[in-house]
Amino acid sequence: METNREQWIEDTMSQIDGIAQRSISSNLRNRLERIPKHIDVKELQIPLRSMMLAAACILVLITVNILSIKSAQNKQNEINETFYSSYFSHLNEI
Amino acid sequence: MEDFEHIELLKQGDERAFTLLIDRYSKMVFNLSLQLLQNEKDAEDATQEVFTIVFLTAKQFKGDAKLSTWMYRIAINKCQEMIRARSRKKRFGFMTSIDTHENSSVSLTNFQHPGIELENKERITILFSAINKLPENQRIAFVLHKIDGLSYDEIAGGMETSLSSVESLIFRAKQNLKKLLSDYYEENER
Repeated sequence: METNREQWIEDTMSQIDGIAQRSISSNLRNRLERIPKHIDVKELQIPLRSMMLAAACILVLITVNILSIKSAQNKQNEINETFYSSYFSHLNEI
Repeated sequence: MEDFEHIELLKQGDERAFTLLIDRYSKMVFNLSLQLLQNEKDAEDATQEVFTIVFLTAKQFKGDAKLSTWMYRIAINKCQEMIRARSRKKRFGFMTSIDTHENSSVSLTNFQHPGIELENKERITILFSAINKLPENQRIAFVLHKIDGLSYDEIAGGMETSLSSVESLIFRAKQNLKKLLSDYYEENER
């Protein structure tokens, strides 16, 4: 039984040797010959002015972000200072 | 005409060089696509797309590989792309079960290979169904070697991998095929 199975597997695997290479059809040949050989790819040029403008916008955005983070931090520090000073002055009074 | 000469003419846009490229490689690209895609119409579309890519990128070819290796590489990539697109389509198909590929047993394919004699069709159908169950890289390496008759070197160049990887892929593909066929025999032929 085991030999039958192995023989069957071997026979099936060996079928692959009998596959013949196909020639291409005349239709496919025509399709291949009709492919355009030269296509002019136009390079897209971005004007320098637009690029500078975009860079300036990015710079402004980054600056505004940094400034707003700094001002938020300063505000937080001021609140903390006011809170501590009022707390300690209250303690002193007591 | 030598490879380097052919490449130079292609880069210059010489019409004869393009025709020669079709003469030399169209059969190879078509058969490779046919084995991998297992559909004649898809294989023809893939062949056309491969040649379109080749014609449009010929100027950029650096000549660091053989012309045939470059063609194999483009053809394999195109077929892989089409196989993946097809399986994505299947996965999202309304009526298709998602676990089709996870099933380990061999379910017979509808593919009737045009290059086979009638009396062998049944066995070949079983074999191709088993081949379809192999992981993608194993399937490609096995098909290129056993059916298209490519050397390990050519497969390594085409698949952009090392020679030892190709050897290992083909070895594992054979082992897995034997296992799949054994299971099929157990279920159907006994």
